[in-house]
Amino acid sequence: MLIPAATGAAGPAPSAAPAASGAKAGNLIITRSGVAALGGRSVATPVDRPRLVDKAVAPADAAAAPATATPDERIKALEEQVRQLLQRIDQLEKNQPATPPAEPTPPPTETPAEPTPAEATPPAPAGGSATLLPNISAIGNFKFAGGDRKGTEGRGKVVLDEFEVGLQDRVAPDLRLDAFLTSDRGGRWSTSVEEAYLTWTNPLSIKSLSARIGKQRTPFGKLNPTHPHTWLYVTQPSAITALLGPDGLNSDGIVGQYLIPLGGNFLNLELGRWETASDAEPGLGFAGGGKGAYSGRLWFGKEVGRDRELEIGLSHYTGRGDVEGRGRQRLAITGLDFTFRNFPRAYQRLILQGELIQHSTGGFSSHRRFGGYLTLAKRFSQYYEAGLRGDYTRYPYPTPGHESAASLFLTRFITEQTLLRLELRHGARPEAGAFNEAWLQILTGFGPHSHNLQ
Amino acid sequence: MSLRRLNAFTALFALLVLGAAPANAKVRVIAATDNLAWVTQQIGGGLVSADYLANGNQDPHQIDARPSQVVKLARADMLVRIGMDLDLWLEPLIDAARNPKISRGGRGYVDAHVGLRPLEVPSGKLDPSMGDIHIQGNPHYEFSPEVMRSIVAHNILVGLERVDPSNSASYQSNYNALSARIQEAEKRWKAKLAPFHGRAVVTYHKTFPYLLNYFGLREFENVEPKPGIEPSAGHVAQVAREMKQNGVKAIIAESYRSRRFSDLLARQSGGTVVPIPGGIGGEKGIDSYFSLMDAIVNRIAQALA
Repeated sequence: MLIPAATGAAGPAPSAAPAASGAKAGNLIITRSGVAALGGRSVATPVDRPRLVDKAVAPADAAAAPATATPDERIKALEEQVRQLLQRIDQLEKNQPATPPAEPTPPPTETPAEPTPAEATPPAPAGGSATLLPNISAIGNFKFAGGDRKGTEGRGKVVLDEFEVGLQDRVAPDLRLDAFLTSDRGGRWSTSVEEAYLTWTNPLSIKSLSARIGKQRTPFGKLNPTHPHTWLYVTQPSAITALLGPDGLNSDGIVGQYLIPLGGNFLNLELGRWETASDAEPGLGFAGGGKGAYSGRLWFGKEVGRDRELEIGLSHYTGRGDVEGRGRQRLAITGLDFTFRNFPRAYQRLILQGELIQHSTGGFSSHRRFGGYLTLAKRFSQYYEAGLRGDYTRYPYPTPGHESAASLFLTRFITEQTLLRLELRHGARPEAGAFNEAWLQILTGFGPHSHNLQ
Repeated sequence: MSLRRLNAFTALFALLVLGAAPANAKVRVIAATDNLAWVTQQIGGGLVSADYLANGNQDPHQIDARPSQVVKLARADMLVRIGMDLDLWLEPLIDAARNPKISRGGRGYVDAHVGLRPLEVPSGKLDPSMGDIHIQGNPHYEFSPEVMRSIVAHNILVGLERVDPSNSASYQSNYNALSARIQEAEKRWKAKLAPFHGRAVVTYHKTFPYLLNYFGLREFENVEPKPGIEPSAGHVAQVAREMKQNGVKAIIAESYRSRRFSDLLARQSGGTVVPIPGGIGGEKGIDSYFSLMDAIVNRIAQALA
């Protein structure tokens, strides 16, 4: 008995498989002889390439005939199974959903997997459709800050600290556009373009080379190129705030990235030219770059045993900027960063990471200021991670004083996109003296969101 | 220029050139998982050197992207990925590798699932409150021998023939041999689980629909209340009650997962936890797809007996 092809049946449909006689690719063919030969279980008889049966049409409900049944009884049991199969196929063909959808099926926001060249176009997944929408995502960073000193920003308030919308997609062969719009609290709410850049991979067909053009977080050090929602902790290390700025280094420009062949090791060189200065506050940050700045980063990585990785980076950024009471000066920051990662088993990770930053003003050795941080974090299950961080920094010349702090943080992963984090911080600042802070963070979002490898 | 400087420059130049040159004539293939790498190596034979980024002891949903993986991809002639949003962690690695051969649309870019009619394709309005939903359908097709033989192996074959057409005949021959070996093994696997056709099992995560569908088993419930969401004591207790009421005995979970909630459910339901290797290399002694499926089939059969 030949069962009509089930157009809605799920199961593998080999793209290049020659169609079995009388059937379309991906459909189910059952013959009575095939069923009987396999001991009474309804399975597909291999024709050329066997087709799988979606569990929706598997004869799970019909009872198999007991081993002691007569041939007629077994045939009747099989016919009942086949009858139920036919009913389910009819149901699939009528496209009756198991539960009525609340809304029409939305197009997937992810770019559908493209067929490999020379392959036949694969059938569209059931329930999905093609779309030209880019990857759209949104992330909300909610914080509560508690502290015993007025110097704690937002003390005693539960706030939405930052809201980020990402629009990302390929726009042409070898061209990708990433844009991140951010609304942050600051003094009052403002929305700005945190990053919007075009990445051109293999320009002029040069392998291992890419160029990134636009407004972007400057590739300096380990933490500066990253977005706060990717951090292991709530607060920004003091050295980053003091020497790079409360919002780090972020400006318009172009950076070329080249993967230097070094045997089996990773060596990435980034050279950038910047046209705007990053935001800086009096006594904080890096104000150089208003009329051109240059950056360089050399990033080395090596496997040091299976599932262990060591990275070392050297960064430099220089530009001219105004220094309070000193006029226009040549400013420079130099950074050394390292990261050690160990992945002993699934869901477990140990990270030891640190940066040492030198801020120079006018090229005078007496105007150099140092700062850095060291972090140790351990993810010990699918749902929990904990860690420690130590901070120390002096403020950029000519601002006197230094700041130090120690933090303890604990993260609870609720889903892949939602987490709850607690950070306890003890430190000392020039204006506040010793301080104690407690931060509670809820980080959540939706949509596909990705960043460059860091 | 002094002789010493010239020698140093020559050494550096040689290092850069030799570093860029291929170490041997083999086709270098990087696969997302060890299962895919194994299939690639079987089809490629001595003409191919296959490596992987995620092993069977890791959750393929959560792989940390690392610089050493970039190096592998930068030197690869072909990439085999799972697709279906399971290996999104590959995207920044592919971008960082800047290797046109393995970029999307490149000659060496292979999506192993092309041609698959996926199971559990969701419909209706989806959002993250439903857990970690794969909108293109369930991506854990590696646990179906039939899919691995007829879809995955075929896509890898097509990729190798495209990247290295001069050895097409060898690849085809190896593919046919592998296909025959898997088909032969499928007979014993199906025979082993045939007595349990229609039986229900609990799974930790929605990892095994292709496996269960292939062997005619049913997914009764999940230990996770929703995909990727940590189980709660209340949910475990409810599942245990339902297991007892329906005579469900087996709890299938990947061996890389914590046993905490699986063991709790087993104690409360009187069931048995069946640890399943996440892939080849997921446990000691699992060094091929055959030994992987042997272990899976034997353990499930033992639990259901």
